Amino acid sequence: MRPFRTRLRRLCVAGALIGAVVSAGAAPGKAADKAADKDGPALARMQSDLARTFRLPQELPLDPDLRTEADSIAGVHLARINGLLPGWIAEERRLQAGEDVRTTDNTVYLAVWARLLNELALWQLEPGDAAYEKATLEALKTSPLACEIKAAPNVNDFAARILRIQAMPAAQRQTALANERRLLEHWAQPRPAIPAWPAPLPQDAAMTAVEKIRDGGARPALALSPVLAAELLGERTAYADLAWQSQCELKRWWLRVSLAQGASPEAALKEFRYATLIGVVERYRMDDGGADEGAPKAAAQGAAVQAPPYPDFAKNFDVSGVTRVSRSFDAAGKPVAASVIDRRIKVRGIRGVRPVAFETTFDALALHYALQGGDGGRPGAPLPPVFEMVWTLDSEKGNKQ
Amino acid sequence: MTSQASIAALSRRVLLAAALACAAPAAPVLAADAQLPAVTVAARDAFWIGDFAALEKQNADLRQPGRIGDNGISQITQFRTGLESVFNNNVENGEAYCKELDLLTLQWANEHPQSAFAHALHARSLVAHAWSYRGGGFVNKVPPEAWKDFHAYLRRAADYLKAHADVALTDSYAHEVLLEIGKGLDWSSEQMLAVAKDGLKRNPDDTGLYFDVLQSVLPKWGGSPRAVDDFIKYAAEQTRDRFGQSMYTRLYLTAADDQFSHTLFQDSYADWNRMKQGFEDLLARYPDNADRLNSYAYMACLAKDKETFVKQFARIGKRIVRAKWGANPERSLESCRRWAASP
Repeated sequence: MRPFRTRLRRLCVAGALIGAVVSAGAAPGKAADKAADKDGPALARMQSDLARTFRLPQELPLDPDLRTEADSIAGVHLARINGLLPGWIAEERRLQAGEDVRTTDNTVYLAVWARLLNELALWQLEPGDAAYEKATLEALKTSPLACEIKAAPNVNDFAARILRIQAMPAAQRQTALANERRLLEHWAQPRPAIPAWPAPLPQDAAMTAVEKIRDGGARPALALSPVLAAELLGERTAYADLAWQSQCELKRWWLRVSLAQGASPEAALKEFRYATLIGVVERYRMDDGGADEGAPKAAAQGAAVQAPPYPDFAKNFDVSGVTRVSRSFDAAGKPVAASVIDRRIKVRGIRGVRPVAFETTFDALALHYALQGGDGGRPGAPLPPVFEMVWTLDSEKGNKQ
Repeated sequence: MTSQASIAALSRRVLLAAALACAAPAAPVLAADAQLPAVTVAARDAFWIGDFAALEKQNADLRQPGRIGDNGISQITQFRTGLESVFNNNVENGEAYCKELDLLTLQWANEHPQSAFAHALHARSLVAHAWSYRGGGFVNKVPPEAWKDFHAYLRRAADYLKAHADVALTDSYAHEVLLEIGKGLDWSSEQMLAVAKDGLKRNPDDTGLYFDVLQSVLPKWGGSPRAVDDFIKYAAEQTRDRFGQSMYTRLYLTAADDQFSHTLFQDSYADWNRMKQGFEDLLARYPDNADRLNSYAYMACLAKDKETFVKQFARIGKRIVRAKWGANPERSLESCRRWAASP
């Protein structure tokens, strides 16, 4: 396998939230404490965005007592994190000053924001105690309402958890809520190592099984719900085109299939958590150079496939690293399936822990590139079944506006 | 036409017309909620996501005595209409969809062998699968080879219910499914009535069973105007203590919708005075219901009762419900108004 290098100049192109943080940070301060005042708008923006992920929609069918307790937990947590953020900004400013990077307010704010986003992702992956895990698994197995979250899919982290607690027997709820408190207290604390990404991703494994059902082949014994049967079998809808709830329902179906096929409860839950992880790409629907938009057009016959562009948001967050891709071919040597088998990603501002929120940043690009026949070397030469894409930002010449 | 009748008619039309069915379209499954009773929406949504526990709970609740909707329709019928919309979901590959629903409902029934509802739901799935082969056209429009599958699935459904009769037949939903099977397998009207009677013993409020039997005595299903009248009079008699003449009216409205159309009073034995009394009974219980007022005015027009038409049409005001004015409703409404204005 040969490394593939995409070298791009750093650009300060802001998108979505990034733009908001940057512009908020650029507002001139008027108070005596210039630094604190200068950081105020960016802080407010981060706090406001974080709060969105802890807001329980009124339409969410929760018992009043549970809602009250959940709101209280969210309030305590937000207050704690909001209190930490000024210190994180100061710390980041100090650390960046000592690193070989051109420090600006923007690079500091974005690094702090990246750290916050990563805490959100780590929290989604962390298991609770044994009772919590058992009750969570049971709720996921038995309650289709677990996917009927009335919040926007990119900010439903907290709502999804509380809705699962709603599905638990009343006697288990207090234990579950205590776990939620404890897991939130782990933010900004050292954590145990995170388990590796499942390979293949549960949604990919589920779609492979669906393909077998479509083709009349061996299939899992567990039937699909009507909504999945209609979309996946009746209409043959692609996974990416499913509504979020249907994607979630498919992952829930796969969790039950996995258990029926002998997966341990721990493994099944880990897979489900990764499958439903709201990473940066999912959270902001930023242009990750997705398969259709940013990816190169199909190459003319015999020509090398064009390298994919570097996603704008990855540039802003200073995301770099390696994506390792495996692919299979048909008899003619054309790639027919590809999967990411390893990710080694670095993000400015995330230190001492895997930047799990950003680890899928380049997945779509890499998979598209692999399926298009990228990394082909000389025209006519066989494509390697496994290859790496190395994503680096060339900052030697400084920022280009 | 009553809402129950119109929903039943709609269900029939969809079932009979949708050649691809188990099939009401995926997006439409979630559409037009404002026009649907809450009970129907709740059933449809729970089934759509496979929330059988919720369906069991709803069914158990709505089977209780006195669960009549605000326009006289039994809520258990409204509940089943929600289930129907999932079975009738129109998709590109109907066979795969039907098969999966058969499997899904069978799993639920196997996991809950003491649930009459679960068994009936699985049988209903097989019936929907059967109709997907036959389609809703006239006999000569059905592909010859489709009859075999149609009958085979209906027999599977019948056999399934027979095998689980001790549990399944404790819920009148199983009787409704049996009536669907009987319609497809040409059971006699006596057999159909016997099934309905047994179901009504389990749940006297399950008046939807009368509408199912009515289908089998319509001329287009091998019956006759006389058989229709005999049956409707029988049903009205059975329900008179509770509903007055309203069942007479509702059943003839369905007969008009599904068979006789604008010539109800020429081609059937419908008695306008009795229908009128039925409307009055309905409006006494559910006053000012726009659907019923529209049906009342339309029927008065067909019966050439100008005084009643003018009175009911005035009560409608701006609440015109076109769906209640028969075939070609726009023209139907217009001609009734013109007739009423003539000297």
